[in-house]
Amino acid sequence: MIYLIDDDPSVREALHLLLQTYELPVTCFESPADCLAHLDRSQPGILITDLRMPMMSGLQLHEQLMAQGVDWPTIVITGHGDLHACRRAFKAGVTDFLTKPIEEQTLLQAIESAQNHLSQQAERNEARQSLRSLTEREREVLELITKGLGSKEIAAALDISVRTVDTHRAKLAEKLGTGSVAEQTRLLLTAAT
Amino acid sequence: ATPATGSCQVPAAAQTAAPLQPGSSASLPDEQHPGDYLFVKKVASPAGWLCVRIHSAQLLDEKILPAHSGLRIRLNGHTLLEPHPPLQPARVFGQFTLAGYDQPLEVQLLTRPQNLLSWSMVLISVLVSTLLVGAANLIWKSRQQARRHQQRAQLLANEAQLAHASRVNGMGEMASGIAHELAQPVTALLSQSQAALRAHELGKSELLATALQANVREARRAGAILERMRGYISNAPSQPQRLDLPQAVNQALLLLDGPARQAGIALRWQAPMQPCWVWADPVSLEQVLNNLVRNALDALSHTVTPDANIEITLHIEAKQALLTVQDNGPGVDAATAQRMFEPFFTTKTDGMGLGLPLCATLMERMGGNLEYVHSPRGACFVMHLPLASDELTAHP
Repeated sequence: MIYLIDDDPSVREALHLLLQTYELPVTCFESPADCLAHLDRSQPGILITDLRMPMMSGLQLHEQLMAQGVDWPTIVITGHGDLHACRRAFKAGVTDFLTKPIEEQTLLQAIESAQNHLSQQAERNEARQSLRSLTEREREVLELITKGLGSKEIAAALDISVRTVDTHRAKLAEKLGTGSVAEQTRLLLTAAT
Repeated sequence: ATPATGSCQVPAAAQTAAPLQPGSSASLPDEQHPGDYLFVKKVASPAGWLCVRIHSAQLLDEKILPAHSGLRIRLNGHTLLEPHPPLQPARVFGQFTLAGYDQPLEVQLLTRPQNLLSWSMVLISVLVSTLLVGAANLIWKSRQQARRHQQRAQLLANEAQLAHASRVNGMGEMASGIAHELAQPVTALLSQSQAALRAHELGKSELLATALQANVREARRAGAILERMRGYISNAPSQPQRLDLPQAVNQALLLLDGPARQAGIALRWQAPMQPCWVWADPVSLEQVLNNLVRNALDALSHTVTPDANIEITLHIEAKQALLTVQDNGPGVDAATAQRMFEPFFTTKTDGMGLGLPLCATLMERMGGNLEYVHSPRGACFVMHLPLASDELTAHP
């Protein structure tokens, strides 16, 4: 989902139409306040926001959402391509900064990289979620597995029986949804990013 | 000097020598030869005395001396020789020491002061000094004139610089305004057009029509902005004409609505129903109003003001139209109010201090003036404009 925040109805309408032709779902908000009030937090997406708007700027909106834990990729668009605003925006952690008028390809590339960012974010969150479900012992076993140790070696290292190690491994595979050592390693690395 | 011993050619010498102790000496004028001197020394062996006549006139060839000059010779503080005839008044103008280690003869050259300052000398020196003074005066005057020329040139350069700076300032503000105003319709135009191309490729004709209709609307919006800007770009001199002030204010505010909305500041203007005819140049009028409202917007957006607003009102007073721009910002302190119409005085970090002086000049050119009025609410500027004629209709 793409969330578009711009106070100018013409700009909103135009960008909406353009993104529609690429079959990208768009939700429009006419002001940062409208966005804060009606944004569906359970539907992670990409925020595309104008910088200068009455009452609240696009950067302030970004900061408020971040404070609420909504850390979705944000693309700032502005009619004033000044370096100062750009630097401030990146410092605040926005994903991209585009000047109006916006080239179709530039916008699509920005959206694509934001989507990658978003899916990485989703994967990381998922990995962290599943790792959080492990017991302390299971976590220890997982770390030794990813170091390339076999069940016997793990049993020796943790001073437990091989049978117990195997029980832990079975539980791990169930909780993480994979018995593959490679997949488990990838999961651990993703969560650490 | 001629030695003249014993034989008493000089009785005065014998007389002088008689009381002297052997070895001592005396000098006396030679009465036989006026101007000469006798030098007498008593000697022990052979007993007697020695007399030396000194021809003082020949001591130095007096002919080499200029008229009214003479020599004086002294030894150990005693005068041995005075000029003859005596010079009165005499002045020493040169002196040196002659002779050996034990007899330092001091020779003084005497002359009368008049000799030092002859009439011709005086005349020449007066002439020369007059010339010098005249020349110095001439040089000083020409330098003075050069400096005045330089100052005038500097002044002209300053004026040109001021005009240029104000133009540059205006251009900068205008460019920023154009960028600001045009960004939205151009963004919409570009995205709508690209959407239209996509719709065409996908064969979605209903989307194509929507996009094109939006484009027509946006192009008109951009055109209207350019139309407003054109007034600023043209270098047409101020041309006061009979115009309807409320109408002109409406036009000017078209460009200011956007920025005010962007800043979240209410721009209040209730145009009266009847026209109000004034003599004014529409472009100048718009420039002044634009400047005043933008100043108010700046002031309000730099402070937290509840219900931030700018109110524009029109009154008629003594054959003048009074257009007031009042904001509810922090206002202007007394020190700033006193100086804010001076060129290059500014309180803005990025300002050049030319806005208000330019506004005042434009108002004066139209036969009106711009005034700052102290107000407890915030800053308040009043534009005075002459009414076009008596055909003015009544106003609230």
